[in-house]
Amino acid sequence: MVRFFRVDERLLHGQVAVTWVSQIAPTSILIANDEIMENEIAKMAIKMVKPNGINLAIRSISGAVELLKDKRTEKLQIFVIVKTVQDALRLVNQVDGITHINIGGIRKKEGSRLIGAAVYVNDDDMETIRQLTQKVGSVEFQMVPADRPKAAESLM
Amino acid sequence: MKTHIILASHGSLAEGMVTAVRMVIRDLSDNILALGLDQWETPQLIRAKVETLMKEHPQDQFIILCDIKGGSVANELMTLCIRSRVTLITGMNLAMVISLVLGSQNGADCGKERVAEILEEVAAGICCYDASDFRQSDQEGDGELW
Repeated sequence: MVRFFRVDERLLHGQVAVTWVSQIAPTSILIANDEIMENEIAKMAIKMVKPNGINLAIRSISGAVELLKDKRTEKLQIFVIVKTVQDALRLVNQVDGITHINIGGIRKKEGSRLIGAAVYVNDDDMETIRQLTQKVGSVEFQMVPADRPKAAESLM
Repeated sequence: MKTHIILASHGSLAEGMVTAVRMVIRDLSDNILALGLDQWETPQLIRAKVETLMKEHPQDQFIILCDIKGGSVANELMTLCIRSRVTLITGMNLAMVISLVLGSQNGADCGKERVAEILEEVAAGICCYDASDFRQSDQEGDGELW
């Protein structure tokens, strides 16, 4: 089952790996991203950050959907990480049982404005977050566990 | 049981280490103390500072991390190990300090067994990479969740 679902434009990186993994204590980490599938160096970087004793799988979004539908994942505690809220919505629309979305960092891009530490949203992001909130219910901005979470609804 | 983490080193390695730990653990408590020779001048003065702290907190646990085995700072502080609830570790690195801080937070007992586990994990994190590893990773595939 999906124990924790996070949006982070840096996917799995030092600070997140240590603090969130320590907090969540997952059995497995699933990185779901299309672009990374063609990028061996980026995959390598993620494999390097993987904490000991935790299984790591890197898949495209559709590969991740397939994996999450596999009965063997039922007994696992999976920490899913995607890069963008758009990818989050794609996944959430195809997989059941995701009850909370944590948003860590969203990259600055054209037309985006800063709404919190390391979180830049443009109109498309806002609309996507709105749909995520409708679909999942609980959507929060929280970079690291020590930060106070901020409900996405407060920005709508 | 409350644990004090003491970092002792040549130069300002200890103070520098704390700045690095703070980047990862934002709400770092005050139980971590950095004693580098740049600021503290001699191993004896560092030892005196640690002893004062131990006198002030006789029931607490102390984990002392030194930069290098056989160095004057480690040698001087080694004698404090004779006391109960004192552990001294040499070869401190960031992964080690982070794990020990997290492992001893909120009164958790970070005893010898847990320390040994942490040191094993930390040692596994000392790796060397070059181009040949990228080619190998290709063959390893994209991992499994189970």
